[in-house]
Amino acid sequence: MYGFNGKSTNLRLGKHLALQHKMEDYQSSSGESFPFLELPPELILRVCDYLDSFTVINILSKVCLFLSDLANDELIWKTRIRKRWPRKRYPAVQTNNIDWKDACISRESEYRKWANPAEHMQRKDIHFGICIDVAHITKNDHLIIGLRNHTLYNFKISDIPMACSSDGVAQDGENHSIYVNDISSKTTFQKFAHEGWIWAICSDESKLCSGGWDAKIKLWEYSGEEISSYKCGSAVLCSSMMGNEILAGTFNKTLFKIDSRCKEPIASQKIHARAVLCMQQTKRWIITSSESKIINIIDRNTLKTINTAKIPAGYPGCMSLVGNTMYIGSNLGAIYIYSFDEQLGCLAYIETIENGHEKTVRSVRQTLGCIVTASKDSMCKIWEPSGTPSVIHTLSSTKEKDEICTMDYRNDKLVMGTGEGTLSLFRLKQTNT
Amino acid sequence: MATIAQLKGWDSEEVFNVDGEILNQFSSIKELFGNADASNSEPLSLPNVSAATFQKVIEWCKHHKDDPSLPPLKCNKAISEQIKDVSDWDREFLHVDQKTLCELILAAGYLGIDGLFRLTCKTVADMISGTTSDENNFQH
Repeated sequence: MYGFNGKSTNLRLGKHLALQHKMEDYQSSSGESFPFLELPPELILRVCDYLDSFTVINILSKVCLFLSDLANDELIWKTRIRKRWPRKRYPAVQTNNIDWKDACISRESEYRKWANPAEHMQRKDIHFGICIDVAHITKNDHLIIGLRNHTLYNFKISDIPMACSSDGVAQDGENHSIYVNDISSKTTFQKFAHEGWIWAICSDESKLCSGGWDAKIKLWEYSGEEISSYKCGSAVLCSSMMGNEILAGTFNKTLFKIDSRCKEPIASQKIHARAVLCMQQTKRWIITSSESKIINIIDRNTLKTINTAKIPAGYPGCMSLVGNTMYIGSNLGAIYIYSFDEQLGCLAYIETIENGHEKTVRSVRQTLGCIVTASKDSMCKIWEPSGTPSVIHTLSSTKEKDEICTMDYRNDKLVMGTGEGTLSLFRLKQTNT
Repeated sequence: MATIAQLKGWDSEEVFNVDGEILNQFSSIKELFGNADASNSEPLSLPNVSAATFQKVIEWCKHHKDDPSLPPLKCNKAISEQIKDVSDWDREFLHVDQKTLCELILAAGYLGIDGLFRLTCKTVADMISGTTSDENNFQH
C-alpha cells in the first residue's frame, strides 16, 4: 500500500522487510501499534530531520531494529552535517577516523548552545581579586585554579551555586557575581602550594599536578594532600599527564619526564633554544613549542627531536591536538590549523583562521563541534570546527580590557580567568522539564 | 473555480472534484492535469491517500490557499527551529490521533504539499521528542 517513490523505494522497503516483520510481531504482541513506523523509510527520515540528532541516535534507535539500523547509518549523519553547514570543509583536517554520529551530535549541540547562549547557558562570575594564571577542568568536573598569590583552588563544579534567573548570559550583572569568600567553604585550597606563580596544571582521574615558577612539579590528591614534589631546575611553564608519566617543559629550554612512582625525574633533555611554552602528547610523540618559534616533534621514548615545524609568524603560545587536527594560537593573535601525522610524526600547515584575535592567544580547545580560543584582547571566541571557520559566538570578560589569561572547555563547561582576578564559568542551564 | 481534476482515495469510490487553486498546491501531481476540463475523464485513484485523509487534506488546502509560498528551509539553523509559529487553526486541525497524523504525512509527502508536510513532520517530531507544549495545547 505504501509504495512511495517508485522502484528505489520498493528496493529499500525490501531491505527492511525482515525488520518490519519483527516490528509487526512486536506490535501485535503488545497490542498497540505505532503508526509512525508504518511510514516508508524516506518519510521517517524526513521526520527525523525535525528531531535533534541526539534524540534520533540515542533514543529513537532503541525503539526497534529498524530505527536502530537507520540511526547507525553513518552516511545519514554525514549528509545531515553537509546539508546544515554546506560549502565548508568538515572536518577541518581530512581524516578517515571520524564517527559521523558523534560529529553530528556534537556539532548540533555546540551550535545550539553557542548560537543562543542566553537561552541555553548560564554564567557565573567569581571574583578572586588577584590574577588567575591558570584554570583547568578535570575529567570528573573539578575546577582547578592557580592564582598569582601561589594559591591553588579546587572546586567541584556542581558545588558552585549558579544564579537561577532566566536572563542568563545576556545580562551578566551583579546578581551573577559572587566573591570567592562566599564559596570558600566548598573548596579545598592550598595557600602556598608553590613558592612562585602557578603556571601549569594537568590532571587525571585520581590526582592533580601543578607546576610553578618555583621550578617544582607537585602531585596532589583531589582531597588536597600533597603526594610528591619534583625539582625541575627552572620555572615549569607547561605540563601534560598520561598514566604514571608526567611531562614538564621549563623556562630553561628543557623537557622533563617524571614517573609518579619515582622520587626524581627519570629523564630530561634540552630540546629548544628558548623557553618551552606549551606541549601536547600522543601515544608516540610529544609536541612542544618554544619562544624560539620552533615546534618540535619528539619521540616520547628517547626524547629525541624527530621533526620540527614553524608557524608563519610569531611564536606558538598554545596548542590543541585531537586525532590529527592541531590548532595553534600565536602570540600575535593568529590561529592556525595544522594536520598531524601520527605515523611519521610531522605537522603540515593547512590554513590560517581569518580575523583571529588582536592580542596573544592564551588558550585553544577543540571538540568535534567547535573550537574555543581565548586571548589577551579580552575576547573568547567560539568557532565552527570547519575549514575557513566563522565565529558562532564571542564571550568577553566582565570588565573592558580585562585580559583573559587562561581558558578551559570540557564536558560542556567553559571557564575563563582574567588578569584582574575574575573567573567566569559557563555551563548548561538546568532544565526542570 | 472550475473542476479540473477528479481524484479519489484508494479505499473508496467517492470522487473529489478538485479545482485549480487546490490542485496547484499538489506540486507533485499537478502537472498530470493540463488546463483541460477533466470532468469527463476517468477519476484518478491516489495510491497513498485514503478518502478520509484526502478530505482532511482538501480542508487544509482550502484554508491555506492564499498563503504566500513558503521560504526554503535555511541551512545553519535547526529545521525544527524554523517552524515555530503554528496557527491556532492548524493546531486544531492537527488535533487528531497518531494514525491520522501519519496518514497526513504520507499524503502530504506524496502529493507534494510542502506546508502541510512540514507541519505534520514537525508535529510528529514534537510528539517523539516529548516537547509537550504543543500537546498541552491540544488537550485544552
